[in-house]
Amino acid sequence: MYTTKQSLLKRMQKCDEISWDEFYSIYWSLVLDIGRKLGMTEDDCRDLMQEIMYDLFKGEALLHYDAARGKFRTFFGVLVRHKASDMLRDSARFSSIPGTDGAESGDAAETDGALSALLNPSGDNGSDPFQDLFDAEYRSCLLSMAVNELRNSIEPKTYAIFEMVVLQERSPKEVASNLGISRSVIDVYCSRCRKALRKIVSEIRVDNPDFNPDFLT
Amino acid sequence: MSFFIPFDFHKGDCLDGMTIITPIVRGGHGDLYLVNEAVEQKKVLKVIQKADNEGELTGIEKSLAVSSHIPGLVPVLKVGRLPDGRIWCVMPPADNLAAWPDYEPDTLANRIRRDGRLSPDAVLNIAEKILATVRDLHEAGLAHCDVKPENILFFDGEPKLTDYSLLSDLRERPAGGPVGTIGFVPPEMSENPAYYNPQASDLYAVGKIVFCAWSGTDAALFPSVPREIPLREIGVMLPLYMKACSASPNGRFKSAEEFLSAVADARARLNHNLCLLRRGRRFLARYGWILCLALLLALGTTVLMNTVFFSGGRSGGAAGEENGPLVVTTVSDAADANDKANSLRETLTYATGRGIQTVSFNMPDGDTISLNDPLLVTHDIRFKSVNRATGKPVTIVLDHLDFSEKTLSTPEGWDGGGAVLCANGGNFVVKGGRFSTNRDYGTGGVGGALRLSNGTLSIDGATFRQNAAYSAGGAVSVKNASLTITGCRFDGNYTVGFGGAVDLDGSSARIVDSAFVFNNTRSNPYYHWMGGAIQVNGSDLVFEVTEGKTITCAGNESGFGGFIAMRGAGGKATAEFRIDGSLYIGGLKGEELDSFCSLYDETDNPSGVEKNVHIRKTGRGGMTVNASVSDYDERWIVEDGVLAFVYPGGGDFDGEITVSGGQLRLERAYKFKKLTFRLGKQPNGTAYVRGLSHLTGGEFCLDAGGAANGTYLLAEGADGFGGTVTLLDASGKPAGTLSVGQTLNAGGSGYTLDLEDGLLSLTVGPARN
Repeated sequence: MYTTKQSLLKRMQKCDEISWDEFYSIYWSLVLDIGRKLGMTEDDCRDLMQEIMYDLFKGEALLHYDAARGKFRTFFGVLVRHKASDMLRDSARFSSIPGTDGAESGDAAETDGALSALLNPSGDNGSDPFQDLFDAEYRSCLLSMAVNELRNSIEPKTYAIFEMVVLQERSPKEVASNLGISRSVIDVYCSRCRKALRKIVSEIRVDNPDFNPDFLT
Repeated sequence: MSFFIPFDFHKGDCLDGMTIITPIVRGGHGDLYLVNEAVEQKKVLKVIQKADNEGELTGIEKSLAVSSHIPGLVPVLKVGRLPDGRIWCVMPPADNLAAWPDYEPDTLANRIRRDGRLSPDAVLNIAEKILATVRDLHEAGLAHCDVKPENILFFDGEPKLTDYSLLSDLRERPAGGPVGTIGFVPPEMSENPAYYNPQASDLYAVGKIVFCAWSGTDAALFPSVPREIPLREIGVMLPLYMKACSASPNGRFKSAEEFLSAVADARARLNHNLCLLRRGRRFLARYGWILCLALLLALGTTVLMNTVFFSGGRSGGAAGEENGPLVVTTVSDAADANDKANSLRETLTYATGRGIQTVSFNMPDGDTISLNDPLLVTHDIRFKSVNRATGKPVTIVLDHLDFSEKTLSTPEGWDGGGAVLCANGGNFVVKGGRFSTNRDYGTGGVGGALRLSNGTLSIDGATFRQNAAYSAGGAVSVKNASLTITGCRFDGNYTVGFGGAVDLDGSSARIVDSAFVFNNTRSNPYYHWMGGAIQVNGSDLVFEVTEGKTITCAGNESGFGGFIAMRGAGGKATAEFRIDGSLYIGGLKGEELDSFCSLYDETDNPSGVEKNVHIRKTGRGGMTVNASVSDYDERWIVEDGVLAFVYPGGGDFDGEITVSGGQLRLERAYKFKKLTFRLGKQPNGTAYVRGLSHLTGGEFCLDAGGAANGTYLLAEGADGFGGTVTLLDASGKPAGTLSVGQTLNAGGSGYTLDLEDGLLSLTVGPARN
């Protein structure tokens, strides 16, 4: 079910259509969010996803992936970095052409900054800004997946209450009084969801040991 | 990924006297065009895909038959056929969201896409109109089967339903399984065509429309509500669409009329909320300064009072102390029982009149006192547990006494309750008698009729009817005590807390041949708590039906656990259903979860909160649970006899069951979490489980540690079983998995799983090569 499951990757390597859909649905928001954080336009973000999917779809990229040599997460991060670099580089070139919209504006400078962060993995102080960004977005993506899985597997009303109280941090007292239910019922719902979510998170943690959502601790 | 396919008609093309103005959209079943029928007589032309011709034509014909008297349907004005055989039809154009000459039909989907979420009032308006249309369709024997935002069009602002490609007769069963759009079809219907019900499908879809329009999100995100929506709106809208889209079919609206009535209620609540809000604002604007003044005054008074009392000025409080414990000596002096009773009555009446609350007994002739007059028992009197003369515990017998309409109001935090009798310590016996409409309304009230802490209570042949307690145990509550109930009937008792009839708190109890009917924890609409009949809170319960007896428990109801609530409370809670006769538990109503039992531990221990909470089925008799919705997280151990969970309307048994003997039946259950069979030393012909073919998901284990060579029959009616079983070795660890027809060698034995004529069996023999 989760991105780094080797079975999913193997099925993708065999060009299994359903697996590709599964993969696409999982990584779509991750790539879009990273693109946005890098200052890319919505259209560029979608192009970035298309480029990455195209590379994977051709099979070339996945052929280079070897589970024994590292996590898929690292492999995918490198792929996103390269593709985004290419796109931003092209965009910078385009912007610097005299007469284009970006030439006189600050667009070119902004793109250069993002490009620099991508092309300079060591950063000024030994850090890797892109990797930090990717890791943060990846964790956020894992959390979304876990929550989606919870939403699809638990009674809707139970999930809705859990979402309001735990994920959206609304006051349990106010939720109880507005929905006409007792605090005790809210505790039961939240307890059930936490329990189910712990199970989902424990599956994710097999491949991502550093994944530990705050609200479960 | 989609490819652009050009439209068949272009601007200026003509068809049957109509001129194409512009293509509108390419839909799943056909293309839409805006056309001019005459000068400035705009219409919408739909050209159907060839593959959908017949379905669409049938739907259009059905709609033509009823559209004249169902105003909420978009009428079909004209139908024709293209030379290549495709059907076309003409309909009036919906309102235009764009500016002419551009045309964007005003559909609910386009409104949501353009404006985001709609106001609750607008959503309720739309729901009302669409539900009226759905109701009219259902009354005409039809179902739309594809109600979704794209198929709701607005004409002069009024919503109407369109797209008749899936319109079908209510009794019709589509050959290809359920129809409709993903997200708008009830989950059980999309998973299992056997549950297809077009009428229910329409109502479910309207629920999803309410959700999508009000939240502004996609049906796939149900039931997520955006953070920015205020709780007062959620409080009105969420219950409406949650009921319409409940995971359990039984939890949903049964008819459009019922749904409409709920929409009207929601509107009333919405208006009430708005009214309160406006009134509050007006009030604050007018009288805010008075409120501030009053608050300041109250604050000043509090400070002054504290200063007086904490400076040593407090006195009094001894007024009641002169009414000390009364020693009843007259009982032992009386010559016979009547005299004893009379003397006791006089004494107790005297004691009550003086405000005395503790009566201790001094009876050299015995440690049992029988009360045969209800006037002798009142909650004002606390009976002393020890005979002062002998030092032995006193046994108080309430001998065939009737109590009714005794009331009490125990405040929050008091260890009290028991409008008839409240005792701490002592042995009490209730022989026969009737307890009806006794109530403790106080928020600390436990045990509407009887409450005992730290003693023993034995109730034999009594009837408890419509007693109530606010907090727990509508009729009886015991804490750190031992309770035996034999041959009793608990009918219509209730609480807004835990255990509609009986509350066990840190106690052990044995309930024998007793019936529980229509007890509940739902008397207050704002609290849906646990255990319709019984709460087992850190306690042990044995529920027994003796050989030759048949006990029926029906109509018990609660938010969680229609019959019983098990709370570990950091310790353990166990229940054993020792059924040698026959027990039928039916008509249960858990609100949406846990028809039969709710398991809950407030400690929320991540390592498995309910690990010490389980239920055993023992005894050679049968126990049937007729469940209304689903059951979650229950852990059952079936040791003997028959345990049957029946879900007449379908439901999940999403719990763990270990079958080490006897037979398990799961009828019309969708799934289970874990089923473990412990194979005994003697292969036999008993079917361990019936109804397996309905089940999906879950872990199916065979504990073969103690198995002998031979064939074990595992399941009957398992025709559809296509899963695998996990074989557990003697240490309970997985030794491998088995599919039907496969053999697995483990521990020197060979295990072969077979399925023939719906019988699933396991043959154990020597290991095979």
